[in-house]
Amino acid sequence: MPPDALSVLLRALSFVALLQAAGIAISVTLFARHLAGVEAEVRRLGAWSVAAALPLLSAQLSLEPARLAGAYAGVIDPALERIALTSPAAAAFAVRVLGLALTALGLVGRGAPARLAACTGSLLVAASFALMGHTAVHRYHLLLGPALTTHVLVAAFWLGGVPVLYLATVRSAAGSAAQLIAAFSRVAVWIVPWLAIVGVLMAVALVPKLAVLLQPYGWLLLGKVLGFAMLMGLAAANRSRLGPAVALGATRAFRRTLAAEYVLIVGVLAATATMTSLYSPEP
Amino acid sequence: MRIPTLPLALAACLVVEAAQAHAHLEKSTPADGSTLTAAPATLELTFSEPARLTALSIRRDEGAEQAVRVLPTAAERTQRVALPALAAGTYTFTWRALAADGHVSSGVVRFTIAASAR
Repeated sequence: MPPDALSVLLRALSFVALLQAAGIAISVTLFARHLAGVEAEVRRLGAWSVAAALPLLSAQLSLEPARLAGAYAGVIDPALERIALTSPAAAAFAVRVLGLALTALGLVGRGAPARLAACTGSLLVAASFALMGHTAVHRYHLLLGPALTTHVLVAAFWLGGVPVLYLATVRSAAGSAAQLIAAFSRVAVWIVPWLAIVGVLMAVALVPKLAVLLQPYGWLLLGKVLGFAMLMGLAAANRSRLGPAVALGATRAFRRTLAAEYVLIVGVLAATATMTSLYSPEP
Repeated sequence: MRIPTLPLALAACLVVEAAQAHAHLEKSTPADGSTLTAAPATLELTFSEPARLTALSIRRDEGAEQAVRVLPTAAERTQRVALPALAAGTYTFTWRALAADGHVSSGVVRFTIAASAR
């Protein structure tokens, strides 16, 4: 497997682990009183997500010299190692590790200090995405950085929330699970639109021209748009019908759509990793 | 208020992608696909934004690829690399560059030095 392909794979997997860890920490912070019966399991899942993210991030950074060289021999090139360790990728790695450490503290701890650690850790994980890419070097980076951070934070909330809701429908009593779903929906209905609103604002600042839609970059982008639209459809069905039905013990359909949401989000993240690693929005 | 989902979804996805673009090659000297009557002394690569050249290799015709060891260390929009004396033939230069935004881009520049070239 060429270094670029391996890098894309590691990047996609790290995106999933990072956002899931941060998202579960956000869910534990926001919905702790609705996690009766599943809190320990949810915290364990979050901790495992942190544990999965760390080696993935380390492997990704270790592979950077190989990407710079275009061959695996690059990993033993001291000059390329130096370049990799002083690149924005290394800065993003450092912030992500710090964010994950705080997230882990938030997941294993209790009380206000743990909640603060979880929130700060999740914020750092999201903010690390603004340390690379055009956002970091754009003349309006002071506006675009927070915008991208918000975008990633909402995505983390969504990705992390899905397994939490799933566990609740499997382990908790129907009433408790329904309360968690209702609490999640009350928050989601306000913040998920910001995923798109922030996107519009940033697109005005960053997107060069629509001709990219005729290139591989554009095809992947359209695939992501389709995935995102499907996600919104599933979320709407969950909120309006399937989620409320959980209170009556009807959990199977809800769990199926949750699983579909998870797969779609992972697909969107995989497309993102591919696009940002291999292609450019410039036509 | 009804939010138009599809246009916003498109814009949302555009955001994450546009926020992580790459330096791409705008032009090279010698130009890609050109035929030269004289061997060039340097290879010039002009990128869309400042970039650091991290790898460059040369292959003549179907021969083995050879790495160029000495590369510029600064990130510039135009990178110039001194070339060894090149005989007639078709050359393929494979490059890799790191942009200021942290992303790696790569590409190929090919040109031919005509057999009558000195």
